[in-house]
Amino acid sequence: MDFDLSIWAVRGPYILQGLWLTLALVAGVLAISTPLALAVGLALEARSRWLRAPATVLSWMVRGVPPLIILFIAYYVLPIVLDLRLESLTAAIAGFVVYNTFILGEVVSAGLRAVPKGQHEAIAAAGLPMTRSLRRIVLPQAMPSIIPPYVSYSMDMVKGTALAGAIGVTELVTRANQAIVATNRPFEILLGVAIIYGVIDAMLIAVQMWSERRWDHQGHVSP
Amino acid sequence: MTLSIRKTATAFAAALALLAPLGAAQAQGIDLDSLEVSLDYPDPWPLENLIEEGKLIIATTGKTQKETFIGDDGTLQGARIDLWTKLAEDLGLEPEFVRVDWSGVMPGLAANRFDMGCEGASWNNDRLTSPDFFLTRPVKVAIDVAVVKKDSGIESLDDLADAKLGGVKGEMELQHLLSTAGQDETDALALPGVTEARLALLNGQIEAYGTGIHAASALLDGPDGDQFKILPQPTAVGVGGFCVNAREPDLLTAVNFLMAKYRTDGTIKALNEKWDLPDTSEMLSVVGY
Amino acid sequence: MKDTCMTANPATPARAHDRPMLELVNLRKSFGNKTVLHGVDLKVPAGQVVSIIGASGSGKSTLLRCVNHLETPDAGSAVLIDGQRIGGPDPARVSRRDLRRRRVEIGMVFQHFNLFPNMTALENVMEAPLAHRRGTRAEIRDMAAGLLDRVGLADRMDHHPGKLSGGQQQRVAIARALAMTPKLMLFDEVTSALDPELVDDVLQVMRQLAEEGMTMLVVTHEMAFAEDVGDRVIFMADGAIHEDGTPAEVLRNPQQARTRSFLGRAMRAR
Repeated sequence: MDFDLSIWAVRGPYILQGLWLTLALVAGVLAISTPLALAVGLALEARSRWLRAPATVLSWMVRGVPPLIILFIAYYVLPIVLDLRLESLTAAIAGFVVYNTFILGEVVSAGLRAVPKGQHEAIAAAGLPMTRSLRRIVLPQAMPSIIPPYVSYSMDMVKGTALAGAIGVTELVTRANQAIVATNRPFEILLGVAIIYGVIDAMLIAVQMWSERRWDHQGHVSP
Repeated sequence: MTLSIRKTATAFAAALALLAPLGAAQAQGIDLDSLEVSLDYPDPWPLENLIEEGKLIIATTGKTQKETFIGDDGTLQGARIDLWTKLAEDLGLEPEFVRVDWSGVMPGLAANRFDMGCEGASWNNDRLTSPDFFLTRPVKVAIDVAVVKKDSGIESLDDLADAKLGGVKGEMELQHLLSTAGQDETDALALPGVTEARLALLNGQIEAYGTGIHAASALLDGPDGDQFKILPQPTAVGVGGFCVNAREPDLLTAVNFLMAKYRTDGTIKALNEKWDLPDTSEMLSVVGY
Repeated sequence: MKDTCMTANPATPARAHDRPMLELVNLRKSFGNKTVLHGVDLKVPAGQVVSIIGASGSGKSTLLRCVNHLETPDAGSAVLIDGQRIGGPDPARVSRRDLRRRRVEIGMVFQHFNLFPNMTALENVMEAPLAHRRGTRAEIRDMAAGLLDRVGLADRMDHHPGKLSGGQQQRVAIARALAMTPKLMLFDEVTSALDPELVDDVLQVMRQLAEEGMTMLVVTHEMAFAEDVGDRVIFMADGAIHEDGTPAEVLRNPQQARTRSFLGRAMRAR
């Protein structure tokens, strides 16, 4: 079988449009689920049982469901039960946001647990207000434990966005598959797609290294 | 290569034609063959139950060569796309294609996401009785076949009993191959798509690939196509049509009418020829259409 | 910063033993089914320096932590500060606002310093006054710088805790606790985690604080500090106060056998 990458000259533009959709999906989901994950992480670590118990149960339930099923629910079930017909991209973002909020919520929760108990005692003993201390003392110290798993889950998410093809989002992999069917050149196209994912991963690793420098091992925020 | 496909398809057509009434019809001195049958229809066709007014939302996989696929220019095209576009236009509607996996087409009809779907769903008991969608008049005779490698030594369906079988997951074509060979579903290799099935056959991971005559012809036309052949007996012959949202019986009537028209005026046949698909529209009369 | 008064609380008269700063009544605390405090009563007049001694597990740290509700007492306590009752009769039902008010009036210094590692020494001291809006940023900065100067760290203000020795960190922690001008200071084994040569600097700061009239509850193993600086020594065992008197009484002439035994071991260890 001959190997001919010139297929990308013809099919490249169409496939790469899917890349933008993939990136938009990832960016949208991260932008929405990150603050929500913070809330979930805090709820998981809350002293109040009324916050902690529902957050724990919900997190356990959502994380137990394969993301594909959540996408199907967002796209195919919501119209039936709530008469809510989300566009493919909106449904995909909604589905992934639900899933990632709890996945990343657990990351935040683990990061918060990594902050020594003494810090919380010092905050309590000084009568410091909770929100301010969270922002100025607890989260900066939790960041070094949060960033690596956060970036690693984000990488999983980038690859996981291929699932959105099942509900009509013509992202990278979907478009690649369409091109394979039309051209019968699976190897050239898959190789190109693998390289694209590799580049995205490399960029995320760069983000991780930059963040880890910004929040050094002591949680000290560098200028 | 194309020639041999044509021959195969023609052979099937000839076999089926034996069942059809032969000769020109004559009755009471009227030459029935020269009659123009009226196929007038309301324009615009009043459709009350569309999901979105003025739009015909159609689910398609975009992953079937010649029928619905993405062309070099990045647009959705193929014989089915042309037919659906014409159908929408004749109904005074704007066609909107939603690309989903095959596994999402029927759930989407049930969820009221699409007005229509399926690029040629084989009729079976489950589908005929489904509360989620209606099956339309057939667009094709679905001839299921087994594709093998020329050097495999497999010459007929009788040689399949001990062969490693495969096909696309969830497709009726694979089921038909298995029941013909007397094998159990658990012994088969169910692959995610046509491309994977082709590679599995090429690499020897399966010895026979159960698929439709359309996909089989595309396979023989594609790269390394000269290594494959289609076994002369079909594993099953049925019909395949489109699916219509069960909430839209008025659309079903309209589609069925237009399908009859397209079959009669040669639209379907012309599109099959345009996209180099084996044309089975002439055979539909065998099953009363 | 007022000239000589490190606590920035000049109203507190030195050694004014007349009015109670803190009163614990029948304080009880259990962890699971292990009772740690069996109804402790304690009255501390303003300006008194109370050293609390006892073996580990005797309940002395828990007693200290119940004062500012780092541990919520199970029952029976009414903590009074400067004559003012804070919170209701049920210690578990103190409102967050009351709790915060109580904690602002009580400074606490921990065994392991618990400085905020992401902030400089100066920022550590400034954090609570800033959060409680105790003045403009410039005023608070001057006050914090003054406190760090008092504990001998004027040249370490912009260092992060990671760049400071244990003794320096503990002195920053003391300055941090003083920044809210507390009426009462709690010290929980503040020299236990320090290298011996660093202990004296910290004790010196505490001695100075005592001389300025700060009311102090000091859980300690430093018998010399208890003897020299303390006005009163309490010996705890099994969640109760077993001996309570002047340093001379308790340390030189203990009444109970278990006090003598503890002191014998503590003195030998020195």
